[in-house]
Amino acid sequence: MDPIKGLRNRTVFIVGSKKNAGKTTFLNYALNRLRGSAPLGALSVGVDGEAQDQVFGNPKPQVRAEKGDLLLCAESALKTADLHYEVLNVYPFTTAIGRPVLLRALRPGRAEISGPENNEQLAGILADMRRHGAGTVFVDGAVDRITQVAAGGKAAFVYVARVEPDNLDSSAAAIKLLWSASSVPLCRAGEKLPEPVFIVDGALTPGRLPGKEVKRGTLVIEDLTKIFLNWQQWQDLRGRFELRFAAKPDLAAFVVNLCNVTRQDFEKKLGVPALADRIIYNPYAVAR
Amino acid sequence: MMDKFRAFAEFETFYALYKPLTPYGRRAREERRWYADAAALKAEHDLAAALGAFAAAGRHKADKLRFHLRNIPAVELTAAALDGAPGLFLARKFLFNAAEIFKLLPAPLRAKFGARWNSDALLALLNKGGTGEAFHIADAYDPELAAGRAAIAACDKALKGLREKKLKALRERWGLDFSDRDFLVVEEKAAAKFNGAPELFVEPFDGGHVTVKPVYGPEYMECAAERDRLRGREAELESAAVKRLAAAVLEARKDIEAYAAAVERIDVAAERARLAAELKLTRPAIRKFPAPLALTKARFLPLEERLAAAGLKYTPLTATFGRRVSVIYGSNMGGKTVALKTLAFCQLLAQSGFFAPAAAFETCLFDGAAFMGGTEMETAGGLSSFGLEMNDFAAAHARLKGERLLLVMDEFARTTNSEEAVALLSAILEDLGDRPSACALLATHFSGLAAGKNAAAYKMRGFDTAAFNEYFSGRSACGLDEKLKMINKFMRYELLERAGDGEARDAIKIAGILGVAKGIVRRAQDFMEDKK
Repeated sequence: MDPIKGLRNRTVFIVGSKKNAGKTTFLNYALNRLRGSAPLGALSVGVDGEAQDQVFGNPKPQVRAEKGDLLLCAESALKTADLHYEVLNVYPFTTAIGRPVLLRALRPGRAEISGPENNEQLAGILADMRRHGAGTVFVDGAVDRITQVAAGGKAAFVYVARVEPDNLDSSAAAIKLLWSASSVPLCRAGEKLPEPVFIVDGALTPGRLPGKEVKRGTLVIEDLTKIFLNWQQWQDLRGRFELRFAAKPDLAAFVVNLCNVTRQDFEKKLGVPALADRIIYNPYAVAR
Repeated sequence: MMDKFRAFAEFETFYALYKPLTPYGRRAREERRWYADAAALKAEHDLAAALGAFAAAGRHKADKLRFHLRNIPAVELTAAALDGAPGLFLARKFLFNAAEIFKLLPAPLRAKFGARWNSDALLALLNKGGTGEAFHIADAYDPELAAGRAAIAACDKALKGLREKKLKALRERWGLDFSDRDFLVVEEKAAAKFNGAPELFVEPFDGGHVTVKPVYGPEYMECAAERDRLRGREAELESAAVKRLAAAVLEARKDIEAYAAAVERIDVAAERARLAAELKLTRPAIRKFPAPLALTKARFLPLEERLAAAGLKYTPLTATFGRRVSVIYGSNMGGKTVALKTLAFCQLLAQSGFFAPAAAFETCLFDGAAFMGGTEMETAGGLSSFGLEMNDFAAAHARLKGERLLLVMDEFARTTNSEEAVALLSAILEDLGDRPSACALLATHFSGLAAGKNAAAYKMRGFDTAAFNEYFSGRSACGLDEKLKMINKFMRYELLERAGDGEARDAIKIAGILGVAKGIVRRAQDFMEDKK
C-alpha cells in the first residue's frame, strides 16, 4: 500500500533526524498527494529559526494551501502571507512570534505555519481543526509532542532523514533503532508481565537502564521517541528484558533524502532488507 | 498573614474547584478578593443568589449561559491589537457572546449586573465579516475588494491552466512528471540532455544529482506579476477596511469595557452559584461586628472528602462562639484543630464572596485574619518554631490597633515548657479580651489557663469510653487504618460549652488503641490515679 495514502484522516507528525532534514518539503508533497476529499490541516510546533531548506537549498518553504485547508499561523506571520483567509480562532496563549491563529484558506495561497508551545494547547488546537472539518492533519516537527496525541489512537508519524556521508552510520543506526522499537508491543491493562517490572518515565538514557545485575523482567518505556540509546545498547536491552510501550503512535513511513550516498550503500549499512520496503527514498527523485 | 490563614484552612482545595469560564472571571479569581465591607459583600452574595435562582429556574438557559461565557475571549482595545483580522475576530466574538449572555438574563437581573447592551450597530458591522464563528475582511467592507478578488481568482485560474499545459508538455517532451512536486531530483548523467532546454531550470543537488524545476515562460510570469499587483492592491484595501473597523471598535471602548465588567460579575456569580448548588453551600448571615460566630452543621469540606474516601464518618460542627475570646480544650485527635479549621474555612469562604458549607453560618466581618501555631516543622530566618509563633503573634497584635482581626491559634506555644506556656497564653488571652477589635479562638492541651472575664471555654466531647468498652471487649485492632477507624467510631466530635477548664483525659486511651504496649498504658493509668 502507498504509505502516503495510508496517512489519510490521521494526525501525522513529521519528525526529522535533525534540523533541515526536509520536513516541510515533505509536508507540501504529502499535502499534494492527499488532496481531494476532506480539508487538510497543517501546523508546526516550535520555531526553529531555519531560514532555508538545506536539503534542496530553497528558501524555507511555506505551506501551500488550497481553498478550504486549515492552517495554524502566528498572527505576526499573517501580514506577509500570500493568503486570503477567514479566522476560525485566535488562541489565548502567546508564543515567541505572537498569538496562534487558526484560519481557513478562502483561495489557494501560501503561509508559514506555526504552533503552540505545549501538549495541552496542541490537543486543543487539533480538536478545533477536527471540529472545523479537517481530515488529515499534519504537524511539522515536534518529536516530543507525540505521546499525548498518540493516546487518541489516530496518530501516526513519518520520520524524515537527510543522509550524507558524514552521518551515514548514525542515520542508519537511528532508523534501525526506530524500526526495531516499532515492533515492541503496547502495554495492555491487566497484561501479565515478567517480574520485576520497571517503568521509565521520560527519556530512556543509558544512565536510566536497570543495573547489569538485573538479568530479566519487563521494561515499560513511555513511547518510542523517548529512546536515547545507541543500537548496541538497544540490542542489549532487548536481550535482557521484555519491552512494552505505554503509548505507541504508528510509525507510518521513513522518508530518506540521500545526498551523496547511494541507495545501495545506505541499505547495506542498514542491513535489514525488510526495512527497505518501509522507506520512501527521495520522493522528488526521478526513478531510473 | 492571610496566606498562613488560608493554608491552615486548606482553602486552596476549595479554590481549585472555583473555575470561572471567562478571562475576566479568571483574572478576578487570581485577585483572591477579601470583602471586609458589608455592603460590598452583600452585593456579591446577592449576585450569586440571583444567578443561583436563575440556574435553578431552567437548566437549558443555565447551560446556554455557560456556553457563551466559555466562548468569551479577552479583547484588547488598542490600535495595535485591532490591526488585523485576528484582533477584529476577537472583538466580534466578544461582542456576539456578550450580547447573547445579556439576552439570556431577565431585565431585572441584567440591571443587577450592570449589563446594558448598546452595540447593535457595531456588531452588525462586524457581522458583515462572517457568519457563525468565522471572521474575515469580507467584500462587503469595500466595493473594490469584490472586483479585485474576482480578478485574482481569474489570474489563479489562468496560472493553473498555464501550469498544467506546461507540465503536460514537459511530460511529453522530457518524460518528467512534476505532479505533486515542485521540483525533481535527477541523476546528473540523465540530466545532461536538459542542457540548454529553456523550459527547465537545472542546478546541482549533490555530487551525482541535479534538481530540475519547470520554467513556466513569459506568459505565466506576466500573469503571476499581474496577480502580485492585484494582491498588493487587495492588501491595501484590506488594511484600510481593518483601520475603519478598528476605529469603530475603539469608539465603543467605554461600552465594551462596561460589558467586560458585567461579564466578569456574571461569570464570578455564576460560578459561585454553581459551587453553592454542587457543594450544598448556604448564604451566610452577616452581622454587625462584634457578633457571635454561630455554625450549624458546618462542614470542613477537605476533611469530609478525605474521610468519605477512607470510609469514615464525618461529624459536622455545631457551635456558637458568643464571646470575642474562646478557648477550646480537648483530647488528642478529638477534633479541636478541625473545629478551628471549620470556622476558618467558613469565614474565608464567606468573606471571599462564597456561600458557606453549613446549614447556617452567622458571622461578622473582619479586616483580616491570622493563624498562629502548628509550626513545629518550620523555621524562618533562624527563628525556632516558638520564635516564629511569637513573631506572627506580635505582627498580628500590632495590627489590632487599627483593624478588626480574626485570630486563630492552634496549640499556640506548645513547644515551650508548660508552666511558661500557660502563663504566656493566659496573658495573651486576657489582653485580647480587652481589645475590642480582636476575635480570638485558641485550641490547646494546656489546662488551667486564666483567660480573663471576656473569654469563654469549650471542650471537645472526646472519646466515648462506655461505647468503646462495649464494642472493643475481646477484640484487637490491626493496622493503622483499622485503628483510625476505631478512634473515628468512638470519638465524639462535638463542642461542649462552659466545660470548666475542660481538661482532656483521653490521651492514654488513644495511645492504647494506636498500639502502645498494654503494660505501659496500664502503668500510665496508675500514675494518673496516684496524681489524683
